[in-house]
Amino acid sequence: MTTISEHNDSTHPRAGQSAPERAGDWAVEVHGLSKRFGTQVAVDDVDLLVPRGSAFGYLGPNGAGKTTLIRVLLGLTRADSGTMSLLGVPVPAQRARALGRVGAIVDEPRFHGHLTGRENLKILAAARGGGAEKQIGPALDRTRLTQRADDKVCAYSMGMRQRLGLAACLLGDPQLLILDEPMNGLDPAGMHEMREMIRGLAGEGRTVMLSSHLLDEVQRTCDAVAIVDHGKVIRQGPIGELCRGQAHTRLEDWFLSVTSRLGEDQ
Amino acid sequence: MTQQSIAADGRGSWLPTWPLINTRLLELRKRRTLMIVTVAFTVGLPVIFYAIRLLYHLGDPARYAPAGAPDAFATIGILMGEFGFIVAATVGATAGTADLTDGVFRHLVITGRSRLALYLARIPAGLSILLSLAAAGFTVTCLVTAFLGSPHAAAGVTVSAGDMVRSGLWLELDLLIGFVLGLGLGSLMGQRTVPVILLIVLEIIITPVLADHPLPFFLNGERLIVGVAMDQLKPAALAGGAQVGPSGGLLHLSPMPTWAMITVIAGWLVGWSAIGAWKMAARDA
Repeated sequence: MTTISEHNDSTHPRAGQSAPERAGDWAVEVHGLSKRFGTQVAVDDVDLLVPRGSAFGYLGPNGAGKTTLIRVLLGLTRADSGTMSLLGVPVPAQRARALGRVGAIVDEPRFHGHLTGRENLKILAAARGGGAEKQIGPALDRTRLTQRADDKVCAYSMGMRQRLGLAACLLGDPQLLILDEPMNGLDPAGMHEMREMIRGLAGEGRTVMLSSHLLDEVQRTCDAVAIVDHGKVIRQGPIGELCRGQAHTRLEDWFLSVTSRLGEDQ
Repeated sequence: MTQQSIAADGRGSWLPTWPLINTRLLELRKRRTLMIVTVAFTVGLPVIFYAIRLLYHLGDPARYAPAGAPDAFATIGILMGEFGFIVAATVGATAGTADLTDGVFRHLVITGRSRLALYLARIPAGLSILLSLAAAGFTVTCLVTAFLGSPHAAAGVTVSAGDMVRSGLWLELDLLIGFVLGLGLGSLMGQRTVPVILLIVLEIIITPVLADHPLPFFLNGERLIVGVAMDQLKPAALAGGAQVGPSGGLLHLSPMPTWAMITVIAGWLVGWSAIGAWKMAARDA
């Protein structure tokens, strides 16, 4: 895996890294991406490389621009500038093709409350096409929702909705999963369960990009991380590399030291 | 999944697939309250109306005409048109906003499916519910008129099979317009309540007021209102024994040529469909 060292003291995520082994080694490739809302810069000239087959944490405090970047990647909103590709397919130029192999949860997973979990998945499978409907059963099994699949979603707990969101992600047999705060609102048991599912998916060779501000969870789940603050990616690389030579062995301590140092510089 | 199969499944196409239409239909018909209201105003209304007429006629045949008399046909036709339009607008606005308000729109966009296909799938889904229910309600009307009616002795008016067909088609067109306007306006505004209120105001206040009180120097601009064009297109049978103009309209305007009525109606349908589709394509999900 290509590494990015903090020791070069560069804030540019590509600085110090070796060139990718071949084109298409990145599940997510972003260059110079910016997005503004009026005068507010939500994403500021971001470069981001997520290696294929990794569990990648995308970390930052609330309001740092994590969700905006994900929304731009998925075509939910437009970028002002920059280039992007998902699994080697440029977006938004070939958005439909790229998203065919991508599953995502963005923000809180919400569904039609008057329909059952299975019916909600039917709607999404019909939109996805390509035989996705055959994957409803396996996706429900995998997320342990089969027993409650025919209950209305309005009766689901937050944890069940998160699992239904994950089931929706799995409908297209995705090679890339982009999960925005998937552990929000989960109790410790639910977090453990979700973590196991994410690790399981990554273990199958899928790429998982996990956006979160729960640093302990990311450390337990991910191989590599990028840290974003004020719309900029300030560090990225494998967790072990980033913490090496530091006084901190916990990602949380390291993250706080990096972001507070950045705050002092600013 | 291979790249070839992704390209072949037509996810980027603007044409909605049958499964997509079918699941939109599922989403709408499972809305219990909406369906109860829709059934009540499309099927329940003529059933209750004729039941009351029948009871009155049985109670005092000399004073009250048979349930299936032509004036009853006209009255229920107009009522079904007015209430049907409002119900259709509500179904349309619901279809246009349900994904947004339920937070499902972003899930659908993430599938990579064309936003235009997502929009267009709602039209056959919503219309299949509305038009079939309206047809069922109107069938009740036709059956009562055919079997429980008699010529209006005073005016010598009857409702022929041709009148029934024309009236039924007019009613279906009225509901189609209500649905498409509700869908387009709902999609544009991203919420259901205000579009429905605006369309009720258009249907029961603006249209009759402008038709009855032509504005000076307005160059007959009121004829560009879809309700005015629809009124002019209204079959004479829906006016019962009343005196109607050459085009059959009840509103007090000089007749419009048929091409003008069709142009106004088509303009509203295409215009609001385009506005709704544009907003759907441009909206942040």
